[in-house]
Amino acid sequence: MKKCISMLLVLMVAASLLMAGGAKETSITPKKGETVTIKLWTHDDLYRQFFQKRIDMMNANNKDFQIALDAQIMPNTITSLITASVAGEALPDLIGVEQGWFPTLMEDSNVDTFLVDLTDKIGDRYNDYVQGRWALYNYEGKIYGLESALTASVLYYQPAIFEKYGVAIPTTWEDYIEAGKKLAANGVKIGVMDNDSSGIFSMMFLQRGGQFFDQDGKLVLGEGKNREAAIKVLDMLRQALDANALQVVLGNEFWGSTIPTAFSTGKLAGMVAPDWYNASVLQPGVKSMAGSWRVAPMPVWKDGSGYRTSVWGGTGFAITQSSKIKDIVWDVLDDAYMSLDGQLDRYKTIGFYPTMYEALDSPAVTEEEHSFFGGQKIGAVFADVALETPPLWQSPARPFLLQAMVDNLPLFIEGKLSSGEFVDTVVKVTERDAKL
Amino acid sequence: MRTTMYKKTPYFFILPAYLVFLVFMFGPMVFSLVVSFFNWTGIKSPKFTGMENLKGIFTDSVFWLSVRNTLLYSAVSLFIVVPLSLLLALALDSPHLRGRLAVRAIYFAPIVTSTVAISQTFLMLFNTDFGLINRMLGIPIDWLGSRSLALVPVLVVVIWRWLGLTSIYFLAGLQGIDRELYDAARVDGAGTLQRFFSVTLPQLRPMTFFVSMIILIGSLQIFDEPQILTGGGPSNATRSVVQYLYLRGFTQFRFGYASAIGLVLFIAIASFSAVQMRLRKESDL
Amino acid sequence: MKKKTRFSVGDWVMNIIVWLGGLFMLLPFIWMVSSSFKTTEEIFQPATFLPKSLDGGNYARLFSNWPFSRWILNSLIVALLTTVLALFITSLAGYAFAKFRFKGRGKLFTILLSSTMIPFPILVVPLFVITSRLGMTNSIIALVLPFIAPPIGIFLMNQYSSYVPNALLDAAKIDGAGDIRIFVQIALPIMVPALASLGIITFINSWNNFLWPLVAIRQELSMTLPIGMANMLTGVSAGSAPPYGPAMAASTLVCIPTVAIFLAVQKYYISGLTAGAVKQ
Repeated sequence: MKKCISMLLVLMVAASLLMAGGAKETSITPKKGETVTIKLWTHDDLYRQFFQKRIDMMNANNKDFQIALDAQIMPNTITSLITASVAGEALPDLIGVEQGWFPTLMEDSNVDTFLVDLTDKIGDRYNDYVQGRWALYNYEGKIYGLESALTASVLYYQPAIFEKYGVAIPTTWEDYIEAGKKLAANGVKIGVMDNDSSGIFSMMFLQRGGQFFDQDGKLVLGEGKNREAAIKVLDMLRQALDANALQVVLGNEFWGSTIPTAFSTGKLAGMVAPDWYNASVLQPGVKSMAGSWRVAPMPVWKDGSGYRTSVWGGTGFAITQSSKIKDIVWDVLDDAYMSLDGQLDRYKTIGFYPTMYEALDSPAVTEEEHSFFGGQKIGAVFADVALETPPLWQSPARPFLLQAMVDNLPLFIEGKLSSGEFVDTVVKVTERDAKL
Repeated sequence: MRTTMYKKTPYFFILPAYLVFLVFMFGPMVFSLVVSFFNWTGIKSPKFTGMENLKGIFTDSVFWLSVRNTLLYSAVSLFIVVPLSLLLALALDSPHLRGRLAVRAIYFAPIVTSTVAISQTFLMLFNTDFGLINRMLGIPIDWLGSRSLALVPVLVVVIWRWLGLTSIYFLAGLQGIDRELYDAARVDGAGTLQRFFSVTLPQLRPMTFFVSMIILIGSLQIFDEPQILTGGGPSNATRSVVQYLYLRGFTQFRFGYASAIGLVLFIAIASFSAVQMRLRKESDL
Repeated sequence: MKKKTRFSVGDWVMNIIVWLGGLFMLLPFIWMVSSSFKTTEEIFQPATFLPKSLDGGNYARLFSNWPFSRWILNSLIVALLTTVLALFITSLAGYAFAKFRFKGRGKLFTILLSSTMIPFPILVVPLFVITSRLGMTNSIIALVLPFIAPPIGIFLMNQYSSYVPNALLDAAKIDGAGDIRIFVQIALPIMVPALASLGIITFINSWNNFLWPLVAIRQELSMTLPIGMANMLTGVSAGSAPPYGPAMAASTLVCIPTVAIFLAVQKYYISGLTAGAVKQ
């Protein structure tokens, strides 16, 4: 009797497995005086605040209809999107996709199931924006998301420490190592290395011109130029670690108290980090140190290879296939994320650097004097290196790559894996896991 | 007419429990076993892959690492917590214990605390920079960032939480020992220590076995504490089997592989449970 | 009767060890509560153990920066609902197995109790799929249903039902009372200790439950307390260091109900736990 019941149950569930969700969407045109609600899903309230602001402005000028914003905050918008879709629950119209989550949709070509192809809507304006940022939400040559931040990396440093020990500000990585050795001899570290997240390594690897995946999503880390680049970066990190020049921190301590404490006690001279690090971590962490920081371009490689900056992170906003008001959502997104006014407003409101060249070059960015940096016009530094922002090509295998790096970096840092062994292990594990 | 009504009633009484059992326990268990032999990401249809997942697991170094970690948690629970809790139970049973009520409260309260709350507290206690532990030791030890040391905070939390629970069982067992046995032993000239070995321990054997089984089966399923304290890292040094299941299933959406991990876990635990039930039945005879 | 013998050296040692150990057990509680009253700077500075002053800032931030009161409500509803349903379902079943003779009684009982052998973690994936397909994710129902027929509950209720004197039941039957009335008016009152025990255990377990809500709940507003708290420290949001202060405030608040309940009615909790272990 119970055998029958359980068989029935299994069959029932199995049957429903075969039913794929397919929403038939029809576009709604709002009537005059009506209010249309845009459902937004994001992991950070700052974005909600920004979109609300832009929508308020649009509403003020809109005589036909009004837009209301219904935002929900959640830790991972993509897993929520997938499970909600499978469950037949309400889906958002506008969704904030952290670049690390986008690959989850790339499996089984699910991107088209969930997100709208924005390539045509972007059109020729494609070239007006930092090229590298389009790669993050790119699938089979089509673009699905608009990036929120430039994430260009620079060197944040305390000039007083360098002066004190008579060390010049490094402009190349080779100089960086030498400077690191000198500072280490005095008990000061020059930079940071994360123990179990791959942020620092990825940042440097991409700057050197390496790519984990090619444009088709194939794993190319283990081949030719990419492997060389990875080994070169790892060798350099090895030198720095052996010289005790880097502060090793746990992935989640990255956002914690360890680094700010080291900064304020003069034990850590600076850090190579992206633009958002300033607003998110540096300033809030060491408020009392205002005025004693400066920004310099990221060190480059003496042999001239690679880019002048790198990228780290990012969140793209996309329109969902299930949305019934795609055109209206596009209007909002277009205004907030693609217009010059929107880009500058975003910079002012959230603090992320613009991805639009025109915005980057505008005086609002380049001429602004930052008191935290002693009045330095740091915007100019970012605008200068923005042209050389590397892309980051995605792949469904990326989550496995990230996990493989996280698992093996501690071993590399301890010295149990050589640079070459690290690369080969990561490649092997990623290939294996991606097939599961 | 009346008699047939009476005959059906018990079935109605047990029906709700059975429904829940079938839909939320037995059914899912069968489902999980079945999915172990498929590849499935949850979005599109599952693909039958037979033994691939199981083969994958047995050659998966991270899986074996999680097994090692889990066995370590179990070993510490069995060989440190159980003996310590017996000692605690003896103390609680002793008439010479001062402040018994307070002692009970202090040692038992941890059982009902939220694993998240406690793990986060220990997270702070073991923090490299401002943690109390490092301050008392005077050296900045990187507990959570070191592959070899990260297990320590997790084990400390495990001991902290389970000590009281196991001692409750031992206390109940101690209180069930016939006092006349002790009197007889005393008459025979046995001292305190001798009485412990000749009366207490043997009488506690069934309880010790029962407690050990509970602890073993419970510790094999550990998830909350290492998940909050270390997330399984660094480099999987603290990852338990259930954490690995969670990683594969809900972070990477590999439901088939995760279910296969569950299958292995189930076989291990079911075997222990079966052994336990068998031995209990035998000791009852 | 146990004679009160002299206080020996061994007894002194025992007391000292137990109380030293007690300090170790208390340490996390003390740290948790005192940290909840410290400012962020105080937490990061290695200097202070107890806070300089009782600063309620963390508690204020807890309620303003996160939907903490919503989480409390969610946890409360889930725990209460789970407890009530579990008591209802297990008492019915336990009583039926004890007091009725029916075909397959032994086998059905064994099968139902065999659910103790099913480790919950292996159910997580299929339960997730089932709740997704039924559209129940992010809902209170999903958090309640898997736990309302706990095998220990059925065992406990079954054991206690056997204490209900058959004479009473027979008398009631002769008077013409229906089965349900007999169960509610005669059996349940006698089973109250078991109901109390199971109720407390179920409530506390539901309140502290982590793995399943972690999987089933993906939206901030639907979270229960443990999930919300875990999210506070792992959710990376631009602008600040991990909110240790509010996290400790949350931890303190979350532990208070369960510890208070436990201390008040220890007897019931303990007897519920040991029911299967000690031969009655």
